[in-house]
Amino acid sequence: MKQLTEFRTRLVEIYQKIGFVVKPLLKFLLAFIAIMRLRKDFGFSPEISGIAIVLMLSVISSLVPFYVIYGILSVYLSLQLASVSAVMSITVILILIVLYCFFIRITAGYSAALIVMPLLIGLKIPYVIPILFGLFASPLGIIPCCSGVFTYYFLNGLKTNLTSFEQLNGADDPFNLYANIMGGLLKNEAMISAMIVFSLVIIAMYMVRNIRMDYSFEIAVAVGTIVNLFVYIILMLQIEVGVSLSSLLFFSILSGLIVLLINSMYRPLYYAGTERVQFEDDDYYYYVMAVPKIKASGSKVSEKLFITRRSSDSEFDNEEDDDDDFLEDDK
Amino acid sequence: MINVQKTRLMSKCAIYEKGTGEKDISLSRYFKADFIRLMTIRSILYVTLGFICACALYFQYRLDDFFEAAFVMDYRTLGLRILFIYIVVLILYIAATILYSAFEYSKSRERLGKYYRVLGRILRLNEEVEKVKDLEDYTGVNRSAEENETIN
Repeated sequence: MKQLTEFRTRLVEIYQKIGFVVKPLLKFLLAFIAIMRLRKDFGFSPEISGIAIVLMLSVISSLVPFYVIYGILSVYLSLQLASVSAVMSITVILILIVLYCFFIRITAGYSAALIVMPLLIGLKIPYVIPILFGLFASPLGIIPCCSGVFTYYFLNGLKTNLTSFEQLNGADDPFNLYANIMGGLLKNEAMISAMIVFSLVIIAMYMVRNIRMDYSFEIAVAVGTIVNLFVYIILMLQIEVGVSLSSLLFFSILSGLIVLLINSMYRPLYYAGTERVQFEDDDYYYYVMAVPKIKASGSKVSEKLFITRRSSDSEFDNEEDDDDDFLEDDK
Repeated sequence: MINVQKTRLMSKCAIYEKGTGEKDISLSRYFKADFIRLMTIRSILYVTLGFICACALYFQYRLDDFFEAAFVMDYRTLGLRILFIYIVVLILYIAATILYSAFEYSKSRERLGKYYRVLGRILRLNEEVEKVKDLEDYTGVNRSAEENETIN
């Protein structure tokens, strides 16, 4: 336990120094991995399959919000498909527009799940996302979670059907290709069961974590893992859920442990974010670096101010401190 | 001489302006009803566009059935059914938009109220500093010997 606390403190110190590059770097890596996966499965167009294009798109993705990254990936896929089937290329864009208009614009803050979920389903640990959302997001997190599941199964269906389409040299009706994919998706019990299970996990965890009790977050993770296991087992008895019992058990518990670890690291890191601001008054330009102090429990204590000019040793007047907390309300 | 309390308050304001404050300040340009109306119109546009694309995707999925029944289909019933679904979806989205926008706006006004109160404190601190400076100038407390000679 002591080693974990020391490791966390060390991580916080590193994050305070390099925190401003962490998020862009993570976005770059995520976009790079996603584009490389798309290139591997749908690399039909040699012009845009080059590594330079991939790197350029990844660099652009590091600077934009997650839902824009999803748009970039969709457009990239559409351009790859254009050389095989113009109809599918346009269909991908239409699906992106529908998803954005109805779902993504409402939950833009959680849109990282749209990109991470398909990758995690491929790695057999998709349960991390719903358990994570159950802990940190509102029930609206169901939308990007289910959209991510849909994206994975759509890409899977596209890959399977495109193979036979290519083998026929595109002689088959391109509209049949789309009808086959959508027909397969609507009857895909694995996709539907995943959406149902993940929605129930998020709702159950949201209700448990809002109960005023000690260790509500840890209990919520346990509840989420158990709900995930039990609902999947019940569905397994009725339909084909596309996952074996042993892998479900192993990866559910692993996902729960991963989320517990993230929970123990997240709060100190969230409050450790150094703020850099600049402003001026009549006498000085101020370049301020605000570094939060962290208690052992991980909560924020107060801010320590570094300013570029020498400061006086005058004491603070704490009479009207009520309004000083308007920033903390958001966290 | 830097006033540390003023710097602390200005830093908090700057951090707020950099984060949530940017959105809150842009929201403050609207009255509540106008903001809700704007969000509702945007919702209507997005839902209409999404619905048209969804209809196109559905039409593409059932293309064979549509061509087979092209000459015998009751287009009026089909049109009314599509219109009914569109209106139901639109009403649901408009209701959700109105509720969410009203909640967002109220929260934003609360945060802005606190922000303006802190700005008021900074202003009062500025005025106090100015008063002290004027007093020092009048009494000559911080004047150098040369300045005193010039005045005398």
